[in-house]
Amino acid sequence: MKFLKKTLAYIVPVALALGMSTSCTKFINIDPEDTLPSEAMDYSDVSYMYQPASGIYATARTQAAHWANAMMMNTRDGDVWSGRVDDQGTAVDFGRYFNYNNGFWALGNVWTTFYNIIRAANTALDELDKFDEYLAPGSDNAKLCNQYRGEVRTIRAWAYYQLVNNFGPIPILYDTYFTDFRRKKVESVYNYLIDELTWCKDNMSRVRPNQMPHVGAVTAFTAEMILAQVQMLKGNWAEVETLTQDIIDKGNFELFADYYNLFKIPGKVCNESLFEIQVTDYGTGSGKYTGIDQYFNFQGPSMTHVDGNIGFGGWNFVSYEYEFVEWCDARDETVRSETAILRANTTTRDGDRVQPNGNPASTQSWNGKAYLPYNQFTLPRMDYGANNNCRVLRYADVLLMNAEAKVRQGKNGDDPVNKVRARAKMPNLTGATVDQILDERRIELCNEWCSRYIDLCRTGKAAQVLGPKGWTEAKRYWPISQGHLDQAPELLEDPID
Amino acid sequence: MNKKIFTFLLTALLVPAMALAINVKGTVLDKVNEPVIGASVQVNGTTIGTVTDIDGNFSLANVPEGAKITVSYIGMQPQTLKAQSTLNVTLADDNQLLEEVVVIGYGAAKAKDLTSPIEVVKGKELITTPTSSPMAALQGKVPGVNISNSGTPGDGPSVQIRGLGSFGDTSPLFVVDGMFYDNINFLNNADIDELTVLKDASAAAIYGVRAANGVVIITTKRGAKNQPTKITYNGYIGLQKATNVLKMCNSSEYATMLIEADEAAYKSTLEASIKAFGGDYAKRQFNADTNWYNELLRTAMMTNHSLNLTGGSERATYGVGISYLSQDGIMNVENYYRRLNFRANLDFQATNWLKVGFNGVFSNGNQKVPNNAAWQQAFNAPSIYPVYDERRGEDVGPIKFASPDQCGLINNFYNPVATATYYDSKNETYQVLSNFFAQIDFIPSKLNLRSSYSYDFSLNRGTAFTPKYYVFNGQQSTTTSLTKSDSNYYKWIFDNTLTYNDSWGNHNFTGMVGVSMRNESYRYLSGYATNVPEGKDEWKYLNLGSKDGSTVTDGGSRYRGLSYFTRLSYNYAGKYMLMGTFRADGSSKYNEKWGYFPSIGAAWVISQEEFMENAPFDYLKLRASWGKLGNDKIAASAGFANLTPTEAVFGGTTTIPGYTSESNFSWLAWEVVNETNVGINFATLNNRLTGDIDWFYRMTENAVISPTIPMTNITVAGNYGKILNTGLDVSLNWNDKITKDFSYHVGANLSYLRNRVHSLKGDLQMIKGGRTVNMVGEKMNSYYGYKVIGIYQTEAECAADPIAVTNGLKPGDFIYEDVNHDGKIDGADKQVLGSYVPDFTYGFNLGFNYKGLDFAVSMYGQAGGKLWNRKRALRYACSNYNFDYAQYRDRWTGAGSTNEHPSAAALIKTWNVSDSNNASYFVESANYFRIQNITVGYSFKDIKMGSYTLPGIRLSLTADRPFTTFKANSFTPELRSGTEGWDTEVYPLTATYTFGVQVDF
Repeated sequence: MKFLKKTLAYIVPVALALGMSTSCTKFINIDPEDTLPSEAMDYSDVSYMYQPASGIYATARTQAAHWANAMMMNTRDGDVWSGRVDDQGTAVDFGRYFNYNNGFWALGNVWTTFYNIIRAANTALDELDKFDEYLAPGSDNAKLCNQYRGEVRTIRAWAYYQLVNNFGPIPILYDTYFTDFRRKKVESVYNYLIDELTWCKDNMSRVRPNQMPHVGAVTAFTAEMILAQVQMLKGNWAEVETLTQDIIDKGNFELFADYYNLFKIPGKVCNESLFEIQVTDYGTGSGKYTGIDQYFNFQGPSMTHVDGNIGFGGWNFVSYEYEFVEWCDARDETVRSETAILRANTTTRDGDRVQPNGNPASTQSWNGKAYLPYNQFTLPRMDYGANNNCRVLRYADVLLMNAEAKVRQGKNGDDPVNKVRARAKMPNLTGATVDQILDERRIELCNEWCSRYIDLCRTGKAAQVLGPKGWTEAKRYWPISQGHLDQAPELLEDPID
Repeated sequence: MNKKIFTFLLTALLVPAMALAINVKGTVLDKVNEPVIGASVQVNGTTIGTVTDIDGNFSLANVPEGAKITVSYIGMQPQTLKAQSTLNVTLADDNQLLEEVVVIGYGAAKAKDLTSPIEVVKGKELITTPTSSPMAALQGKVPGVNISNSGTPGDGPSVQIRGLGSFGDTSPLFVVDGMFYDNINFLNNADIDELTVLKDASAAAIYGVRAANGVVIITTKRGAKNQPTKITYNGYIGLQKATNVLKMCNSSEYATMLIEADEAAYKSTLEASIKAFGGDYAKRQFNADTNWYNELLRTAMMTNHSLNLTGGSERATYGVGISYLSQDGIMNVENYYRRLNFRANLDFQATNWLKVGFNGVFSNGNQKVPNNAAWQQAFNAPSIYPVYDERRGEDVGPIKFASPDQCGLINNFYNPVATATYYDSKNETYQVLSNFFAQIDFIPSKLNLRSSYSYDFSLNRGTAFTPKYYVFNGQQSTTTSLTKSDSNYYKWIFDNTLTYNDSWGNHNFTGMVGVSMRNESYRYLSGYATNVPEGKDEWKYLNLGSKDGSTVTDGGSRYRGLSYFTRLSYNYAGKYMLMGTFRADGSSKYNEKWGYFPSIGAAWVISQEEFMENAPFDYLKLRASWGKLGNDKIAASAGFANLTPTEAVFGGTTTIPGYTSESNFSWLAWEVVNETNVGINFATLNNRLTGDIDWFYRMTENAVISPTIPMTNITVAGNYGKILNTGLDVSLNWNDKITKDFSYHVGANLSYLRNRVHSLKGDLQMIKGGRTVNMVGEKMNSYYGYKVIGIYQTEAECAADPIAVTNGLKPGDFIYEDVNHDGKIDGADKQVLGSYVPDFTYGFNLGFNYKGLDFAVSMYGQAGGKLWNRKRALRYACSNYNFDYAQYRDRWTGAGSTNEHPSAAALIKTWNVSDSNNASYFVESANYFRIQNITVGYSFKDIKMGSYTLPGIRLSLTADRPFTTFKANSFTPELRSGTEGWDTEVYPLTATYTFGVQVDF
């Protein structure tokens, strides 16, 4: 008996320990650490309401300004090519010979990055709806919520605009849970964008982006400009004129006088800007940086600053075709040529020497719009283009659209086009023709978001200009990458209305 | 009833003490009349016992008259004799493996009673192999266990048991004295007493949700009862040397390739080298002719010392050890791994019903990490610029490295030696494993309760410093920067098990029930700052750097598990065995909390049957098992939509916090492996030939894969996949002792594995990863691209092929297979090109002992795997990278020269080298065969040193991995599993030659 008692004395506590753990399924009901559930967000607190919108600007920064997007999109127009034959050779096939390999990673990357913006925008709108539930209809905060919705929807529309120009028929993802990946006809996409942008135009602040409390946030005028671009693709010139005229008359925009510095630090979010992807180095020469991957770096030549023989530079991609450089020279372009084209073995006005490329088959001229001089660096930070914003939509384009719309309707477009020319130190035109305006666009907007390619396609000049290089109407749009086709075979179906 | 038991117990305890006592002396010999040293001599039913000395002699005092004495020794059949004053015993050999007690999860069993294939590797087999991680020494020793080593000092190998059963982590569970680990790189080979590999479900299922990748149980060295203190020193010192160094083109060959490819484009580069460093372009002679691999390699030292002390009295056993390993890397900069381990354990029989014990391992590792990017750069860097150039300007420094831009090579080119030099990264690891246990015997040797608490704390401190330097534009650092990180793991496991065993006549029964609670926490904190002063380690503090722009990162996780488990085993007369286990596992990691893992195993010892009496088998056992295993080494389930914080810039230096919301979230459960194993185990020809043959079928269900959401690159994990691994493990061993002085052994093991992706989500046929794809019906992690079916030989051939015309192809370019015959090559023509998972792995070993001399050789090889020669394939990023010599030697030079290798011109062309095409040219055989280890040793016994007799000393010479043969254009085709067979930035494996000493004091 004694033995048993003794035994029990040990069994009981152990059994208790066992039993305790039995009752403790609570023991394994713990929350994962280092993750914030969306239900933890306080949607009744308006001070958080801008966060979903801010998230879209961050997404646009990391996705849209991916270096490979610039390599693919800016090199379709015959004026610009990818610049290197020894790296990313498939990009040369794409841009110079219109030989599209749908296995090329960068092709899939363009699609993915813009759809990432679209998907992020869809969930951001869901988040804004959750804030809206706590707001009194018609209140100031409800209007603010609409402004934020408008910012998200404008950026989403801009992403579609990039996709439809490059891929043609594309799926529209109407909301977060939309899974019909059949493509919409190009016309349907245009009409969808017109609806979207019209709403944005009517519900957003009518000020310049640099007048916004969130400096550089998109406004009604940004939406209006993209709307004008879409209407231009549809050939609705009266609409284009009305929309652009509204921006000109009511927007308070002005051209930044110094074209050379427009694309550099002094031109950041200036009065000419309708949308730019913003970065910052926080004013410090090292450490934290909120930037855009390699967008500038990949376009950089090797450079040497004259004082101190300090070297900096990038990956040597993105170049002008020799014919384009010759064309610029023949036009006697001054500051625009100087700004846009960095020629090997020359020294910039800021004292940076452009080093030649070792391989003569590769480029000997680079995209100066991505160039940041040594003396604008926040030293010792010397990554090529560090602290510079990526310019997206400019007032100069609005003026040129306005001019073209007027001329195409038999009106005089001299005033807007000459504003652009005057800033570029070019003599005035009188009775400017459509072709003159298109040439103006070719130089003014070169290397900016495939502007030239869109012009060639919408005007029907592509066959003539790009045909000799291998372009055909069937090659107007890129194929969808094999990777995306594998994931969503319905992308192969005929586009629907 | 109670009274009866009590009386019985009292009698059992008291009777022997009351009898008369005698002294017993004797000698234990083996079948060839050699003394058996260390044999256990135990008086049955008492704690009186001893072990034999070096001459096989023993003596026992106070042995009760008429008592039975059992003499036993591992590998020999035990004998029980009546006590008498002189007792000479001759022990017969036994089938060692069968009598051995094998550690199984939460208990132990005799090998002959097992129903599943369990492999035991003794510590002494590991101790002589010069490796920093014990698992590396296991390579080729156990069939079905695939080990791939890394050359980086301090990096452990990757380990897979029976194939890849998960798209995620496939490394097994390591259980060190009861504590769970992901690897055992913190242990010294000399710490290990025994390493047990549980391969099938019936053995491993007791570990439930952690067991799917197999389980390796490690017991550290302990003393034995009544064992005089044994002090052993083991040490070796040796040299490591890179093997199979890849031959690259020299400057003249490189120039030949470029001139053949496109002289106009590359002439300026070659001329620039001659202008800067001298030479003669016409003769293709260059004064700069750097062999970058030679510049990066050196012969390095490795040494290991361990001192172990074990012993035991009647009531306590103890083991204490200290070991130190130091391994320098063969990269010619400061890189090393040093590790100091302490170990102590004590088992104490406190009362006759209570046993308590403590076990502790402390490990302190220091790793100076090499910059492996230098290896890839050394492959890519042409030889036309030197390592150093003292003539360069003041801005170049602190070392006057030469730069590729001196030859006009700018983008993607580096000075590999500078890359290796301007790198300063260290990891310190402190790890403490401690374990306390108490065991209460309710009924001696029948019913006991064991309670064990294990606690592990480890701290990994990383310090990565980038100095300020300038080589050229493309290789410079304008400020210093410092990243410091602290990772902590806190883990505890509390196990309680109740074990009962009994036998009635021929019925033997063991039952165990248990409960286990565990908690694993991980904390991570990292900081980054720039402008940290350079020069001394003492200055490497974030505080001393710039406040502006410094960043902090924080992270962590915590998982908990609660498990109930039981094992029942029954055996009838040692003939029929049945074992069942069941484990219920609860895990905080998943939305679905509980999983249930049953297993059952049965064995039939046919040789025990009467009808087998005349059969030529000493032992023959047939076994079969089935069970379910879980794998929770997959990401924890998100389980809900979450918000990812971001920042966006709004004017100047203003950022506004934002967030993005992800609507697609994972809802996960663990993966489940269903495994069936059928095997035989036999001994024949007087126990000289033994063998194990096992066939297995492992189906992983609910395998977690992450398909991409259409239209995006966002993946969402789900339990969608099925993976099937089937295979055969065979091992055969021959042991014989010819005379008392000469014995030898020969062994072979082979395993065949068939790994297939069985299904993915629904109809989904393929999931692409960054490096490889998983396609239904193919091996996991297969390479995917265009298959090269030949080389265009003539202009006419090109003109006749529309594909060649469209793509402007020339003779010397690849002909790709047009899989769908649509007359064009596009994404739809890509196909699976092989995987690094080998079909066969095999090992051989042989050895002999002659008097004091011992000799052993082991070999290892694998076949059927492929690797992706990323070194070559990287040419897509830069066409004038250097070429390896084989590319130069084998190149297409004209019609009929070769139908496999491209011309020099083809190698700079997108069509052939684009990473969007992934030509099968870059897929190479990963087959290799290696002489794994050769060891020669000589033992001296009983060395008189004045009044002291040194019991034994053994001197040995070891050549580890002295010879490897393979076809791949690589340092080694042995690539760790995480790399998916990508051969890039691979630290070369070494041959290690050591001199070792073992001294028994």
